[in-house]
Amino acid sequence: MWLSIIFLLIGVLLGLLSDITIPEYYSNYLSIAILAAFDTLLGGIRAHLERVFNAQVFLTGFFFNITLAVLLTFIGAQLGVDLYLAAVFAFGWRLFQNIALIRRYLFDLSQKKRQAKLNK
Amino acid sequence: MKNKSIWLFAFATLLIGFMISLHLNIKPETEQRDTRDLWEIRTALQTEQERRIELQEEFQSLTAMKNDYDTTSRLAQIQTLQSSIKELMAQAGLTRITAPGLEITWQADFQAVESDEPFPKITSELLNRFLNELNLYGAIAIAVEDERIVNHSAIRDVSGRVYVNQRPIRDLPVTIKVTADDLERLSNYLAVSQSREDLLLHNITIDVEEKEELDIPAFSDQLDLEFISITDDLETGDE
Repeated sequence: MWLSIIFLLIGVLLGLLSDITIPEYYSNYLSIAILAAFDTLLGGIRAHLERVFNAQVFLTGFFFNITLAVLLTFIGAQLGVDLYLAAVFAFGWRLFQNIALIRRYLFDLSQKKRQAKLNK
Repeated sequence: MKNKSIWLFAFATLLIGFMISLHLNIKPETEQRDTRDLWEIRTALQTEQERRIELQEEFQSLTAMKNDYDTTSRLAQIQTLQSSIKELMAQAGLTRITAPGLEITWQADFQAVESDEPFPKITSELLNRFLNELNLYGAIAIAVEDERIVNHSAIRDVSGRVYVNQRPIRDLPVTIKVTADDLERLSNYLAVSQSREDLLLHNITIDVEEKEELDIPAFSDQLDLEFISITDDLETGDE
């Protein structure tokens, strides 16, 4: 948990220090990629809590989702249809679901611990 | 196994953080490209340099004045103040000037007048153009028929007469007194000026006489600053 937060900060710092700038035209792509990465990360955390986590699935899913989302946005831009909204909808939906599930698992976990304490 | 997954999550968050910071770095618009060529850049540079010199000179004179205020006693401060007031008054044309200068006389050229042409008359336009040329060639102080020309002197045609500073000036011949730093240069310019040609078309000739001592009167009216106000806007260098 703490390691993740530290790495998030490191990532932000790296990005700020690297002085890479991206034209405004690509901001859509970047935001959709961030959304896809978040979705996969939360999916991974959920799978971890459910004890069905698979590193390979996570890694491939991470990159595949990002690529797919960016590709979808690109195709949408070419066709003149806001296809990225489909990705936003799908990822947003899954994000909420995953967060809800994670919350429930954590909630269950804390309740079980409390129960165990009481039983003692 | 658990360790590995934590490292994977950390890696994923690292990537996410990187992308977020990239997203923060997005510039709102691509910058305006500078399409000036070398010549234009050089000209721009030159004007800026000239401006810099101008500003530096102004700054130096102001600093000297400030030093005068700072270092000297109260009495001397008043003296400095009075001298700067004098300087400003001289700049505004409120002081009498006695200096070497040119006395220019406009005269009607009767020989050139055809029998059916009227008597040559001066017009405000001719006078305006002539004064503009004098200023262009480095005149310091100008008086038309003892009417001192200041920055907001009006030269108008009022019912067939030319008015300078709200007072009519007489018909030809008219004398214009002018002082300058370099009188010879000014008289040389006048010898070939456009105004001379324009005046000749109106049958008026110019006589230029160099005088060792020329008396140019002060602007006698009240300076009307009713419609002038100080702006609150900050200008460059005000802060």
